[in-house]
Amino acid sequence: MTEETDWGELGEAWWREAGANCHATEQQIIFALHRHKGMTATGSARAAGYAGDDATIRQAGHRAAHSTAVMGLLSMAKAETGKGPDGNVTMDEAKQILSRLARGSDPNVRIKAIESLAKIERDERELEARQQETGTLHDEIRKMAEISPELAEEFAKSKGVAWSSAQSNGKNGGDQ
Amino acid sequence: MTRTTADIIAELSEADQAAVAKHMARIELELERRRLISLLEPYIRQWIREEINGPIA
Repeated sequence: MTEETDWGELGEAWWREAGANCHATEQQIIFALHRHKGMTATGSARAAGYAGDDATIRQAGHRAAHSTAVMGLLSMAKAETGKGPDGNVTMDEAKQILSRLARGSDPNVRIKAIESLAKIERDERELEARQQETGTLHDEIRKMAEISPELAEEFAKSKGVAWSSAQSNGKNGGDQ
Repeated sequence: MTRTTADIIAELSEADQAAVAKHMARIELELERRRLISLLEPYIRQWIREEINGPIA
C-alpha cells in the first residue's frame, strides 16, 4: 500500500508521526490522508483498503470519519497546511477537536495538539495583520481616487502598488 | 501620452491638492514602514528566539 500512496504535501513521515500520536491504525492514517486530500468518506475507505460490498464500505467510511483518531489527524493536518477540502473539518471544528485533544491524558497527543493550536493562532494573527496593512494602504489610494482616479492610479504605479481605478468602486484592491 | 502625477496635481484645486498631498504622505509612510519591517524582521525573529531559547552558539 505504501509504495503506491501519494502522501501529499505533508509527506509520509508527518502522517506516520501524527498517526502514532493519535493512536491511529494504518487504515485510519491512509483514510485520513485521502479525506484530507478531498476524497469522499467512501472513496477514502476504499483507498484505505476497507473490505466489503458498497454498503459495508460506506458504513466503514462513515465510522472511520467520525473516529477520534481520524478527527484528530484531520485537525492536525488542517492546522499544518491551513487548508482542507469542504466536507472535511472547518478551521473552527479543527480548533475544537485540537482543544479537546490538548486536554486529554496522553502527553504526546497533548503536546502535538497544543503545537497545532499555536500554529493556527499564529497563522490567523499574521493573516489579520496583513489584511489590516493592505486595508491602510488601499484606503488611502481609494480616497485619492475619489478626488482623481487618474492620479491615484498613476501614483500607485509609481510606488509599485497594484491598483487600478476600477478597484476604487469595489471593496478591495490587489496587494503590493 | 501618460501624464505624470505632477501634471495631474497641477490641474486640481488647492483644496484637492492639499487633500491628495496628505494621502500621498500617508502612503509613503506606510510603504516606508513596510520596508523597515521587512528589513528588521529576521533580526526581530532571531531576538525573540534567543529570548525564548537562550543565545545560539
